[in-house]
Amino acid sequence: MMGLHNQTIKVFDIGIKAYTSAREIKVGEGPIVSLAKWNDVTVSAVKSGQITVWHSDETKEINALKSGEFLSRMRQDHQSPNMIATGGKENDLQLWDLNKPEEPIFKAKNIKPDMVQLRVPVWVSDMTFLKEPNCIALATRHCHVRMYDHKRQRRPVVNFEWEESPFTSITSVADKSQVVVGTAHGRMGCFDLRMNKPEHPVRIFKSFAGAVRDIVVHPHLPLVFSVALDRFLRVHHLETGKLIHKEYLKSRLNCVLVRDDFEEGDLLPTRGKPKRKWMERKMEMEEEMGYDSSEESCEKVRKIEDDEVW
Amino acid sequence: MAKDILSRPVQAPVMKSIAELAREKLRKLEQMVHPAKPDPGSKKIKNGQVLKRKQSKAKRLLIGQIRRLRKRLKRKGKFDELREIMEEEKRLTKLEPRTLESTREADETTVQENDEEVEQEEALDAFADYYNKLYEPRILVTSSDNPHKATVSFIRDLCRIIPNAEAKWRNRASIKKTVKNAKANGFTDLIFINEDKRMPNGLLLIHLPEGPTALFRVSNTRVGKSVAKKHYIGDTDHRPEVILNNFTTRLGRVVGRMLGAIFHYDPEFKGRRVCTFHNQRDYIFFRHHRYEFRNQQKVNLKEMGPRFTLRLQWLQQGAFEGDFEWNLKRHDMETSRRRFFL
Repeated sequence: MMGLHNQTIKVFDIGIKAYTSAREIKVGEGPIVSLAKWNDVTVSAVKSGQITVWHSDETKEINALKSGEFLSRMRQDHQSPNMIATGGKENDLQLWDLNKPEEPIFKAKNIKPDMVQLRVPVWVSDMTFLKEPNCIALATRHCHVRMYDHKRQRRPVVNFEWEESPFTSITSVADKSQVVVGTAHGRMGCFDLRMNKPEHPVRIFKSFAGAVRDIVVHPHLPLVFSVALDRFLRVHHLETGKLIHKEYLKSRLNCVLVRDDFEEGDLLPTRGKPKRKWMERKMEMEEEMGYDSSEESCEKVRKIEDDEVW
Repeated sequence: MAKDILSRPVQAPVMKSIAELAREKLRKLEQMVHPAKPDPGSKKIKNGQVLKRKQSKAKRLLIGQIRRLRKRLKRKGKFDELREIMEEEKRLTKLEPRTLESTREADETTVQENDEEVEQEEALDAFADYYNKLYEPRILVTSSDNPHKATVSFIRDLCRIIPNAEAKWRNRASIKKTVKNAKANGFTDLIFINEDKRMPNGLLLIHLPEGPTALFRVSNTRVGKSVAKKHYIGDTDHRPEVILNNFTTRLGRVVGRMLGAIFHYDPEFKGRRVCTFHNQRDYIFFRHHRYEFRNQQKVNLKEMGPRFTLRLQWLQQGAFEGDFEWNLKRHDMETSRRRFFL
């Protein structure tokens, strides 16, 4: 299931290798920022803050943008799919329960003003739910990585800065309190949030030339899949940090999904034209708004049921 | 045994002419592996020296024989056949000179001809409007604060060669605010010349309506007047043609489009002016000429206008904000002498 810049949601079936359905949603303004699935119902988030749950008969809407400029991400907790987290520019982390769309369950508080008594600006770029209960990790475009525990306190439990480049994406490593963070200048680092000094990266992944747009860590294999604006898909080894596989995919990549049953043997060495049995056809995005930068590329799609219920 | 030899019929020895011999040998040489075979790229290093490519012994012997036959032909005065043999020999024995460009590491991102996806993407990118001739570019050129003589003359040269360009003093304005105001005033591109040690050293090119930003490192600038001392032509109104050479990779194509979109899309051929951006080994050389065709084959070129060299440092999406599409990281990327990105 993919969300496009011009507010269309499309479903691509890997088996048939074709689009099965497309649907235009006209909510708010701005591109679709994130999608989620809950009880066979799609949840979509738009840049202007409206999060809509598309039940078959009626639609419930949550306005996630009570303050701030725009929404940049909405993420769903895989362990409890009714929980979603949202964040945006000047719009700090908010946790919502889809059963109660009026008020957020948790609203984060900004950290204390800095040395010069100025308010620290907030621009959430991505968040991820950690394996530990009630914990969410956040990456901001002002180079902060934060961890919140929503049962404990409203301010972040862990907060540190790394480099001077804004962060674009963050993912959690399964079964550990580690996160992998990608920057806009093309650096990716793995941090352990429970260590004494979380700001020292456990490992840095290299070889990017452009901004890291999306990262996925495989659930049981030590592999990190990342997709960057320099049109390459890269697979690094999580433990050693070495680049295992690099593939040129012609568009500026935005997202990556990994199949649950992906095995190490599926990575074939690149030689010649990239036609691999595990790789899906790249998709070009239909542009109506003329934003060329956000082209989506979905490979190794997670198992999505073919009969999508709208 | 003597009986065998004597009983064999006497065959008159067939005297082949030198030219025939030479031709036979050339044919043999041709059948051997063609000398212009692409180098596998490995150089033999022994004691720090680079050894030359070794041709097989048989081949070397043949080439020597052909050369000697050719010299005999010359001595005998058979010039027609000599010319023919010489041409063949040259064709077969001349090796392709091994340069950094010819042994460049093959880049995956090289754009092939008739690539559908590239065309689709270019039909929607920031420069599609320009290449569809929907607007005329209007450039604002400025520098960092307190520019010195070299930078000021560089800016003046740029404004002279780029049609529809204006120069303004910076006056401590911030780039982000300038971007906003320029958009409001209808400019389509911004150029900031950075200065270091009294010389221009950086060129920031921002395409305005939300376009990509590129930072180039400028070197080797030469002012128009010093390049075209005798025939310096002052301000010409004719719009130049633009030549973008050798932008082969995907990134190179984006940069090439960006540089081309500064100039007006309709050149005035009457003025016979041409601006060339030639990319070689990731350095973009800018030259400005006036050409004159003497006949179909020969062109006279008079260089006018400034000369400078650019090197791309980074390319960012968005007008001075946003994610970086490409970033030059010297330690990671400049590992091989044969690897180029543009």
